[in-house]
Amino acid sequence: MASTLTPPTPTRTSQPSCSAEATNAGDRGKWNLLRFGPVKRLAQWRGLQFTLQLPNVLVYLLVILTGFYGTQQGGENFATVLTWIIWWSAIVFTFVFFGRLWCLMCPFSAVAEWLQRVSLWSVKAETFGLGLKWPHKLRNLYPATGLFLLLTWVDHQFGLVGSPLYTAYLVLVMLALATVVMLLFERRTFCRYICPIGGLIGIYSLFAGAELRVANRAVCKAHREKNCLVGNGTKGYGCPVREYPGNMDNNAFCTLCTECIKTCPKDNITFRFRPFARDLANLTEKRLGLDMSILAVVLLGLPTFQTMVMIEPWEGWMDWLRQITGLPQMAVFSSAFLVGTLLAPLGLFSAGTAATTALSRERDVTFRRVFINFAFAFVPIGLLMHLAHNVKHLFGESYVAVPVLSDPFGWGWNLFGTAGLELSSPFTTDLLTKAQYALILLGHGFAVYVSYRIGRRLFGEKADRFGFALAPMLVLTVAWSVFNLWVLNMPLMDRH
Amino acid sequence: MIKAAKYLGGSVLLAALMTTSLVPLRASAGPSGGHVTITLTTMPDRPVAAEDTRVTIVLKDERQQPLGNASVLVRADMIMSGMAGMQHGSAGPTATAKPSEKPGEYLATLRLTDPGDWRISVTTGHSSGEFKVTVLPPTLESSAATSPSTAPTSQRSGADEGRAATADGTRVIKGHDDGHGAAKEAAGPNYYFVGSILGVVVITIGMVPILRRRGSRAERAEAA
Repeated sequence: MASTLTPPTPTRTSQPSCSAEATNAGDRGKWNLLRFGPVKRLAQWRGLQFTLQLPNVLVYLLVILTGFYGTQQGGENFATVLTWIIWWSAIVFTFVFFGRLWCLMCPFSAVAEWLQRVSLWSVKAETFGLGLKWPHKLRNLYPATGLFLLLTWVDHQFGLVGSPLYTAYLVLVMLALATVVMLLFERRTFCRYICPIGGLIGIYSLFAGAELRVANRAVCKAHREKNCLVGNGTKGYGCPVREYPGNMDNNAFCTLCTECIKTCPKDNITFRFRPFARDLANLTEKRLGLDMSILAVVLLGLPTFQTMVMIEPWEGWMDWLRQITGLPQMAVFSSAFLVGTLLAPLGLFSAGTAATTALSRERDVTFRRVFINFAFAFVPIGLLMHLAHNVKHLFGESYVAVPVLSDPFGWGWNLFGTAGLELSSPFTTDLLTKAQYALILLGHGFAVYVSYRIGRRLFGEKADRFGFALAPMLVLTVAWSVFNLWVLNMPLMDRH
Repeated sequence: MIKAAKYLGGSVLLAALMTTSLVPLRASAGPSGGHVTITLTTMPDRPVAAEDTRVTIVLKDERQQPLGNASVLVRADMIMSGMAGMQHGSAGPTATAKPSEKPGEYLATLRLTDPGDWRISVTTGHSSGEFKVTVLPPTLESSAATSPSTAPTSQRSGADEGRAATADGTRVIKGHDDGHGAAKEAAGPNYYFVGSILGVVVITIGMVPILRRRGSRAERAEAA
């Protein structure tokens, strides 16, 4: 069961046909980290990814052990505290600054990739596994979107985040799924098309303040070997997610694995800081798909819904719905989940799209184009609401990890002398609430900016009705931001 | 318009697919061992720290009939912080509730030592429920009783409004009035909230003309 590395099949975002100018527009003034020798040598070192993956693999092995054998009190078990209070709250912040940095060190794909490559870090010519191509019809974000929604629903229905046992099962399922997929299919098919959080990370990474890009696209165009895609001897593998850096204009799929930095013989890869939301404002329309747009809209509704289930009136609403419908709790909640995460955001956005399409009165501004483009204007609102939601978890609750580190199983250990500590958050609830409001305002500002840029791109100079056409989208951004503020202003119950 | 309908239809289809995918899970995830409704009321309605709090629990079966001869364990934990029943709370008193004269009603007395949020867990057989209670310090209790601004909340949370909760696992399923409302009313309007809403409107109205001016300048410069 062995397969060799083969040249890639072009996909929507990895067409090895450069049409770019000699020097990339708008690249001047950006700070390329790879200009610094030590950073560059570190990125080119084959052991880098393994060094980052190994600690995470060990930590998640401990999560599995503590989940199965430790106390089932969620707040006193390492599995739940680390996974849901520390990890899940913190990684969202990494998306904002560095894009898919987590994917570089993700333990779920690490184990599968080590098996697939039959190597921890060195480059082998042959890989283990069937090396099948992922079906064309599934080369989109629908599987990842569906799995992410399913995961969220399971959390609400079965109390995933409060249960060490279920958390351990989740980690095992993720590991098993990644391993099976990567042994059946080539490269990191799992990360690109299936990972339940991969789609979310990709969409959020469009906002990131950093990017991996080529320095000069003309160099890529002239370079026939395309080592970044097919690999370069013992220096590195071809891109695991089949992204062609020479054409890459957004962060959605790049996992920052640094393989292209290792394989590029032209030294043409850069890692640069940039203004936030740059991808969102400058997305190339032909690279966008309905799958990405739908996920962007789902990610607008999901953080709002996740916060709504925590507010005090929520249980009253559920009780009322149960009474008037006579349905069991699970059916009522599942319906609310479906409406809150899918139907309401998609329905409202579709209405806004229809209004914008009608008001633009441009023949080439179709409903499809408006839907696909403007969906990304709402990413900052969803992302910053997600951050606002996690601000209280990360800064208001992460101190509970201190005693748990000394007693990860809840067996009465005191490894570091911190088990008995009674701590409280250094941040007051009032301060964190103000931070939440500030984040919502920031997200709204970015949403207005991105809406404007998308409007200019879609309607162009000929749009004398530019303001009218943009108005429905702006009204929707205002409505969603105000609703988010209202949700955050409500008193919270103690549930996730 | 046809295209609009097509995309809206696509969205609905996706939602329908999601629903379909949930059906098998729904069927296999029903509560085991019957459906018990647990109602909890406290006396006083707002417990006071270091004083006895009388807890009344009413159990009803699936047909809403009183559930007698049950073994009912009551446990209180102080909540340090909240996340889906994951709070690192300090363990508090436990008690076995004894049946009262009324069918399906059980009584226990707890002494909640410190002011703050407490979680009262009620376990009977395979069912359990959790209730959040805010314990007031003695000084707050007296001021709350005399403050006119909190009067509506106090009346609303009277003992006759004990809230029914369906036991469905470990998450907090229903709470007593925890004083949030009173605290908000006493503090007056939330200026940060109101200010943020105004901020959203101002950002929207203010940014677009600025962006248009900047855009026009950039376009002119580019053309030149």
